[in-house]
Amino acid sequence: MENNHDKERTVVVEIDSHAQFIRILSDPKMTWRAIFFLSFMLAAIFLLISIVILSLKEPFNIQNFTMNDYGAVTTSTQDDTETTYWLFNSAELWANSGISVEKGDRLTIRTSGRNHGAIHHLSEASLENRRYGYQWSDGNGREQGPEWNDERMYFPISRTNAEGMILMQVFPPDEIYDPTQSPERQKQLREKYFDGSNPASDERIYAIGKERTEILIHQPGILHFSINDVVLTDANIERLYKRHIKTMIGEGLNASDTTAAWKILNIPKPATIVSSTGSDTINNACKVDDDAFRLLKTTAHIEGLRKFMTSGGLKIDAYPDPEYVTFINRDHPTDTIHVKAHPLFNELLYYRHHQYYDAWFVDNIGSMLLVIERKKNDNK
Amino acid sequence: MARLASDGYTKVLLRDRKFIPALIKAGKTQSKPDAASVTSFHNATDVRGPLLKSICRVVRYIVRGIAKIFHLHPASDKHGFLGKPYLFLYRLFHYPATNFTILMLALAGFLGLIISIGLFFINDVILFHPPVYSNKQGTFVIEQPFNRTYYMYLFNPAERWSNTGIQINKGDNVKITASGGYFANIHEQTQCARNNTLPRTGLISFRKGDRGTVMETEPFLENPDAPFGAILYEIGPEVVQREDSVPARADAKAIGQVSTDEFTATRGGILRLSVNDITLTYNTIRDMLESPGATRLRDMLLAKSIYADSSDVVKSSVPPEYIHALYSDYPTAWYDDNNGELLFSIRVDRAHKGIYQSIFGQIDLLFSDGIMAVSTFTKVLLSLMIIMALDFFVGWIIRLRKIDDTEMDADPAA
Repeated sequence: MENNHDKERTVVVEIDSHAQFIRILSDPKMTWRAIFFLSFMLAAIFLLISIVILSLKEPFNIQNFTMNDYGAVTTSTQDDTETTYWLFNSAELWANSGISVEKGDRLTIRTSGRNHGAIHHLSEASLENRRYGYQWSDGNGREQGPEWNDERMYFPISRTNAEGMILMQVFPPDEIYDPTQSPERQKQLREKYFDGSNPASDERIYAIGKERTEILIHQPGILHFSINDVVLTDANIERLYKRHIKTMIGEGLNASDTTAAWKILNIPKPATIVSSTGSDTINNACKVDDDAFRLLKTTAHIEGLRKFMTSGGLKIDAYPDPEYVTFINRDHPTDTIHVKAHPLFNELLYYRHHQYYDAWFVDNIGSMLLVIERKKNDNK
Repeated sequence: MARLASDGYTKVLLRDRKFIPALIKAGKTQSKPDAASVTSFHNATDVRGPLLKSICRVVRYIVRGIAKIFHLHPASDKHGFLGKPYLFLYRLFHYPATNFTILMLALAGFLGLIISIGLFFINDVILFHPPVYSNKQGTFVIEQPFNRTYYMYLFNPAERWSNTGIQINKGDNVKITASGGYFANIHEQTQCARNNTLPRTGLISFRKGDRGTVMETEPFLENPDAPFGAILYEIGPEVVQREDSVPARADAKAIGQVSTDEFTATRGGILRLSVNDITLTYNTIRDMLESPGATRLRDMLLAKSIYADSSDVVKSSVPPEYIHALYSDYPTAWYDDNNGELLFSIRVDRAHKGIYQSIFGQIDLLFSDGIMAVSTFTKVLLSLMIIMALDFFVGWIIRLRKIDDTEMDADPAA
């Protein structure tokens, strides 16, 4: 600014230090953009703090508590240890806990509760105030009692451990047994995983008992639990039946008869027919091959074989009908025999025909509470 | 104003313009908006990715189209009855003082939010000590900081409408799961074990009811639409009017079947659990004997009586009064033969909680149970955030390449 020529000139330098800010304020879009940016930063700060707290949890007294779809409840601590609580019913064969494990994980499992292996024997014994052979047992299983069934216990899931002991198996995630699967797939999985006869079972099945510590997991999968007993897969039924046949040799059954006897196991499911006398009596008729028919006919009344009617715990007279069984020679349909039970025709056939693979589990009674501590594998 | 220098002829004064006068002065030099300025962005500060740009372009075309149709555009010659107010608002929001006020209000709001967030984390998270206790019904309770509570309850399926003592409010989100299992008929289980035969119903778990029951009994189940033996829940008053001296359900409509899915409570009350079986009250037996399946049902009702082994002709002549008398003081007979236990785990997310607790709870669910456990809204929001982040990243790459190309064009030798 200039005054008159004689006076001092004044130059005014205006510093507009807020020009940039005012320019921003002149444009509403810039203003709203600034507000949006601040909101975004606020949300980001909230999320960041939440993520930090929820990642650590332990210092902030927050219990990490999850439940899966199979009822397993899991809490975890800061040192990467998870503790899971899960209730297991002893009547269930290979019960799915839904608990996922990885190779290298270390588990410690403790169990509480009791189970009994024979509800019917317990019921009868309690009615008579009599002590049954074996009692309620904990996770370690049962000692053999006077009523011990030698025949059956040759083929439990784990032959080196006590009957009734709690076992654990890691099922691969893509091979989980599910009743909604096709019958063929179910049977395939049963034969592979259920009865412990597969050579790979040694690595997959672990004996737990009342307590087992530092269990090293060899492959990833889902934990399943079961009581140690006999699973009636087709393979086990065949083994049991063969053993049964072998004990009869020399008692009226020849070694050469075994092939024909073996066919008994594979006869079709009995059909129900009305008696030819026209009465209301319903008989179960079984069609068998000629050689099997002749074997059945010749051995039907041998007294030496009759003792096998209830040998080894197998019930002969429970199948196919408690009263009578009729055999028809498939090759000569007019040839029939009509007997009350037959030593070669036992409950194993019933189990096989109905695919009743868990028959010897269903009579278990009692639930066990499992507490599973899992330390995750650090070396991944 | 500062005096910087003076040589006797020239006086240099330094004057720092005050903010408020500069602000007011800037607003007086506004001009009428043109069409481009109304719906455009400054490219220099545009951080949008290609997807967001495309969306904005589409929105811009729609807005311009609507503005043209209704003569709303402030650059238009015909303003219409909305044009003048729009022009007024346009100028108002281009006035720096207005935007400064808005910005200050926003900053005050943010400050308040920061304080409230800080209080939430300190009070409700860091200083929160989760109470762990059991209620009068023996239910184990664990409370979490974001209005979520976990419960564990051991349930005996022989008990009808077992009271868990868990209070549920309307709108609460509930998830129920269970381990263990049971058999629906201890006598049948025993008989089949004795005879080595297949029982009609196998082991029942919470994931699996059983349709292997007698069809004629289905209409008389607690919930006829659910499989026999399925686990049912009810949310209702704790003290229920008793019918035939057995605990009755509060309301047929309040019964649901427990499944792996969560549900939102449509009413408040106490959570009670039961298996889907039949209570043999007077009315139920009367309805059974009058139903199309009466013959079979009569057979089942007389199974433990002196007529158990009688012929159908004899059974059909048994007077209804005799059958009523069999169960008059034992209507829960078909519950008492249930054999087993179920350990229930129940998670309740309370409906009425603050927005911070809701967000915190969703993040916790995301961490602990995975993305499938969070609400639909959260899933949509997360998906949008991921898409926007990817879009921003792509846009950033494109801008970088454009800058490189511009520098290359400016200096061909490089």
